[in-house]
Amino acid sequence: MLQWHDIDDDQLIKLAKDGEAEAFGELYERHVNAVYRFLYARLDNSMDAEDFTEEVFLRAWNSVPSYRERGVPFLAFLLIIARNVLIDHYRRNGRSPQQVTIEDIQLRDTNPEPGEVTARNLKHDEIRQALTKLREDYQEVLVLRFLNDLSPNETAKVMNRSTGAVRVLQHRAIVALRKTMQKEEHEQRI
Amino acid sequence: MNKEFDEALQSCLDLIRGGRETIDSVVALYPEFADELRAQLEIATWLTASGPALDPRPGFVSASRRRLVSRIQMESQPAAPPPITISERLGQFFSIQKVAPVAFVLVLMLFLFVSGTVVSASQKAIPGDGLYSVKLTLEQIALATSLDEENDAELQIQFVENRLSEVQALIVEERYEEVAETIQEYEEQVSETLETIKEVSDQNRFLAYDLAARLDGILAEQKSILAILSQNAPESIGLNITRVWVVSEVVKLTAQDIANIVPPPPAPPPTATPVPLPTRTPRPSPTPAPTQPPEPTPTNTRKPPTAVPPTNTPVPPTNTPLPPTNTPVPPTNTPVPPTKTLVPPTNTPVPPTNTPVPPTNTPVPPTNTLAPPTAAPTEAPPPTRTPTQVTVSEPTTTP
Repeated sequence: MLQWHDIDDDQLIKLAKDGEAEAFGELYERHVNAVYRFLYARLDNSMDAEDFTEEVFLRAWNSVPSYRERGVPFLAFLLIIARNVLIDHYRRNGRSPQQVTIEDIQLRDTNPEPGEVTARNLKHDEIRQALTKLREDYQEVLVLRFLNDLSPNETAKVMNRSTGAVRVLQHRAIVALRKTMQKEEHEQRI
Repeated sequence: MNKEFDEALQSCLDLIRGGRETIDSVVALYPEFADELRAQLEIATWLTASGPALDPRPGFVSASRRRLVSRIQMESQPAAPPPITISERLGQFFSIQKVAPVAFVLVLMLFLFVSGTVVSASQKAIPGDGLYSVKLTLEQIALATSLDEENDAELQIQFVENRLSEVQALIVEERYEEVAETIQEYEEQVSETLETIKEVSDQNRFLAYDLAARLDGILAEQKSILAILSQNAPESIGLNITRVWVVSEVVKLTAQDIANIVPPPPAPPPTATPVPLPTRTPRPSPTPAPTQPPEPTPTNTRKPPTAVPPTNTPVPPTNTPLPPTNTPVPPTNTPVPPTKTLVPPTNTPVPPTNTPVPPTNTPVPPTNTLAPPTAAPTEAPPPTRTPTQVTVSEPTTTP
């Protein structure tokens, strides 16, 4: 019996265009982690990341009928939507990141083990602390290239730039991040 | 940063992700980029290794997928009509489409009832009442919708009577402040009515006379009532009522004027009984002289004065004066000559006498007396002519 996971993205997209919600659910499960990472790396708490993730897929469902005309992979299509959701979020709340307390983090992540939650949150905070000192496009190219594992070509489509521009941007972003981390390490030693 | 370095970086990352290589091992593959490649690989591997820390919490994906699919399915289904509440059911029962015709009929009935009540009540209104203006408006509407002048005159006579009735009611209710104005309106109404009656007289004098007589009768009746009512009224009211009398006199005179120009009603045709001509006692009349016609005098009756020319022939019931003639004509059933009295014309013919009457040249002038014609034959003097016989000449037949 044919299962949802036996169908490739193109077939699922075609079924979703015909209104098959379960097909879109399968697409959701395949790409939700990438979307969530992209959002969570740019946000200060997982609650917003979850809300925005669902919003991204709802927008994608409404935009599925026009998907093929864009000519980009489905994940790139989703990340373009996620990028717009973030832009909308920044416009609503300004550029300043939200300050989240440890109590808030523990309240919203009750299912995992406390130790695991703490480790995850510390890692998230570490990444956020490193990225937030960079320019927006540097953050974006680093997340897309190394957290979402997109190719330079896919990253270029999401960021609406040329592939060469993405390579240059990636190089400068790594150099900037390296300097930032070295500076922090130096300050910690002092 | 050139393309070769980027490809070397991407190749090294793939090898490291494969789990078989480390940073040191892959950097050795690209000695020309060793330093720069190592620096970037350290950052890239750190970010890549941090990826799982940014994955959603366990349980979120499955729960979120169910919510998403349910929401999509719910939005895809056509919106079911919301349950109908009792108030909405009542609203549907009394919907506009159902209620509108009934409401229209009810409103129409209410309008007719109210307007009918108002019209009825306004007829009893007198000056100073709230509905009095409605009464006057309805009178004007009735007048405007009248089709001919005869009807106009009849309506206006009714309005004159209304004004006088209102004056009476005001005096009875001791609302004297409205009397003067009402009498003023009465005078204006009378004036308009007389004008209309005169217009009617141009078309139908008999009808005009009837209208004037009706108006005169109404005013005479109302005048006597007002005289009684004004006895207990203030002196100023008495003066106003005097105006009513003056107007009534004017109406009376006007009615008389109209009566004067109205010709008498057509007389009945002469009776079938012809007056037999005297045959056995013909009297020659060598010089028949026309009789002296009486002076036409105006009368107060409906019969206008008719000038009768001197003639020996009976005057037919026409206004056309006939030329004198010498033809002797016996007395006939001639219609009425002018008289000063109200004596109706008599159709009594003068019976022919069997006694020969001696011829005479002296014409017998007509008399204005009220004496009835004598039926008895006489020897002499000649038979007296009744007023109904304008001129009667001697028979001119020769023996």
